[in-house]
Amino acid sequence: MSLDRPALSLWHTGARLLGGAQPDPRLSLGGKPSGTRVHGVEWIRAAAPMRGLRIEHVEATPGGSGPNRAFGAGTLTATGANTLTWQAPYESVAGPETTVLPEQTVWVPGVAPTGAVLVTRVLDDALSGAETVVLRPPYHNVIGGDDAVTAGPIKPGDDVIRYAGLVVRNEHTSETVTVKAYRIHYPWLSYVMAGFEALDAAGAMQTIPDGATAPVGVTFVDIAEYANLPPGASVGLWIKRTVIGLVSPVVEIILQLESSAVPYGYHIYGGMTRRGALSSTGYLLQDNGVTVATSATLPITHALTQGTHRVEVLRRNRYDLVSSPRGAHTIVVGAGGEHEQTPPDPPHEAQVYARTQGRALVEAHCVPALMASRPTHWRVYVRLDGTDPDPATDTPVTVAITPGRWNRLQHEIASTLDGTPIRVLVRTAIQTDPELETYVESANTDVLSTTSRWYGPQVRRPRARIEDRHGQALHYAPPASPVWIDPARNVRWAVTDSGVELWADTSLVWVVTPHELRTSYGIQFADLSGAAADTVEIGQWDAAAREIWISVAGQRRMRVDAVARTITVAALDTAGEVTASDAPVPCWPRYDNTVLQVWDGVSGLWETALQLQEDGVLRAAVAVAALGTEAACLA
Amino acid sequence: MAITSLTSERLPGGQAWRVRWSSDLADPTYYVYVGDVLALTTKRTWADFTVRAGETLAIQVFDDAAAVPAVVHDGRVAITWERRDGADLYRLEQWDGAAWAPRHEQREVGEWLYQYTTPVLDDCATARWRVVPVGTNLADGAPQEFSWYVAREPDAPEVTYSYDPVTGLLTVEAV
Repeated sequence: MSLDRPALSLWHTGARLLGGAQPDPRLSLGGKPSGTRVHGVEWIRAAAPMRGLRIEHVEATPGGSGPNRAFGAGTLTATGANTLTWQAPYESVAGPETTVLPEQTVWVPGVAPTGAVLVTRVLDDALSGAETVVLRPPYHNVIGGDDAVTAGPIKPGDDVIRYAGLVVRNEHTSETVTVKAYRIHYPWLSYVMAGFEALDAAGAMQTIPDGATAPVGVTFVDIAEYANLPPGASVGLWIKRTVIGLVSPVVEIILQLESSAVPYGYHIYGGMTRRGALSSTGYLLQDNGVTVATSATLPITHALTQGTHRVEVLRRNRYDLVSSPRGAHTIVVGAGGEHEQTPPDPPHEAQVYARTQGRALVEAHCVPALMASRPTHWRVYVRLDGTDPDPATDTPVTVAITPGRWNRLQHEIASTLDGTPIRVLVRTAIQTDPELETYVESANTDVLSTTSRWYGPQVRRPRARIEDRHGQALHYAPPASPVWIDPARNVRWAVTDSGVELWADTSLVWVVTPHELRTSYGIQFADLSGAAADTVEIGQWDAAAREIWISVAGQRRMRVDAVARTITVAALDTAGEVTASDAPVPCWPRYDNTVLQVWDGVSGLWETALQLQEDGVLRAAVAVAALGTEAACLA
Repeated sequence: MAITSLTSERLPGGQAWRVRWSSDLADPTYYVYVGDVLALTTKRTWADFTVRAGETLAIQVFDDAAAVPAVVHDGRVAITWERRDGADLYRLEQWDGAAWAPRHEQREVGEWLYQYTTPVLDDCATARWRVVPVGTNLADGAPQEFSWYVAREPDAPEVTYSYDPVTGLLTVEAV
């Protein structure tokens, strides 16, 4: 025979009046049947549900290979303005088309004989479209029950047992059936057992005082059976819920009802709860990923042995849910138990920039809050001799790191000679003893380098046109001249548009043009030495000799004698490379050479004509012309 | 087929995390779940996620479209309600222990069902919320209240670590 509703229905108990509303699972302790159904599934509707259609109840039926396949996504489809079909989860086709008129409450069945959705047309709007309805076991219904939280600690066998009274009704109008109620605990371990109790003449069953008290005279078995339930009649059903002794935030319990009627009917009622233990609440101390200590409260103490320990405390709640790791704290313990401070991570994006006038800027970043070992200071090692800094021997500059998420080091290296090689090592560090000022530094060894620069680029003489047609005569200010070396002795550089002249009082030593070194002095070769106080300085100055010394890196390397009319250097190199300088002065000391500059009156640029090396060799970027007279040099 | 690595690193700035993964498949498509919601289907082996203060983000990555993500206890509750005639808006309120505090307002825009997802709620505490319909006459209707005992992944504790080289003991204390 066909049936326009599921073969069996399941109801709460504890109603004040027979069939009165009583939806509270906790009060379903027997007594009078309630007019409120037991929802064995939670229905979750899609974001765009069918307008004006209310779902009152979903009856689930097992599909596929197990009871869990009762749950999942089903589809309600409007096949017309007043017709619907229901395709239950894991069924491949929809059930028969069902007419649902406005204001009607109607069962829309699936293919399986007992799977169906009870819907109400609330609005007159025509049905249209389709919507997905996801079925899940509900939390804390009468099947799942309230959370089972005990003091603990829980061990296997510490089960929590609770009872509830329900009523099963035979929905057939003419068929007497046998009802079976049985537990499903695959793949879940908690379960229900069942026992039937016939209703008394008033239509009620016994009442238990609370969920922990077993009903009298009821035998709970894995498969309970009640025969000869007449059409439209009801029978009391007691369930004994066992939540096993295993702490878990999710416990799923399934009850299945079965009717012997044709069509044969299976009903799945799911429920969820949580099993907890108050003793689980607390903290876990993990050392290198392994839990080494637990405690209900803080502080926690734990002995550390020699080695590296990445420790982190996690919080655990009563359901055994544990906080996610956020980053371990590293502690290194030495052989004698001493604390070997873990080096902090190296800085981010460390760089060194050359700035004007021989200065340099060291920049680096770090984010202490995100580092396992939080640095307290920057340590900046600087060497200016072309070698790499050595943290073992060098004394660094120490700069405190200010607390905060983002930290930037800006350390300026004071003015150095032009061309000085600057080598920098920047580390983060943790101060381990403020009094002794001891530090544990990051392990990075990458050396940053730059070269000191005094001057930026020069600009060639600009030009201008009036109305883009007529040249504009620009009046350039010539460089200052003379540039005195010793005003008292009248020793000077004379800067002209033609070049730079070196005068020893009334004697012209040389003229340097952009193309030539012209001199009437004799050039001779010898290794020279001797400490110099200045790049250009006066030496002996009397009738026997009038010396002008030019030095490199603090050592005298060129001697001019205006009495003997000689220029002495270690050697003259006219083929070597000269490193150009933008220095706007006749003579400019650099880190390992001294350059002689020439003013080019045409371009308006200072150019490098000669470079006196640290070894005393004079490199010439211009031709060297030995002329007979000073007049010839000036011609 | 399996995910062979799943790592995360915090990016400078604090709130962004880069999660990387790999698979033993030759040319896999990855299915990336945030919580238990499919957020990304990609051939890429990384993605960046923003985690706001106080939040925990559960990332699950699969190289199999049929894989089912594990249940995530993120401490949020989705509240749904049907529209009501005469309502102009619906006010979501949370009990803060002393009074009902407004948390969200949903205008009545003619939908049939409305949904609101709460922020992450306190772990192991009963959250009380209610939906208050507000009429076009600005009068509050009868609230619908519910409560829920929240179980979620707890917040990490704020602690300090100190090691005493004399005793050899590590002490972890609450901040």
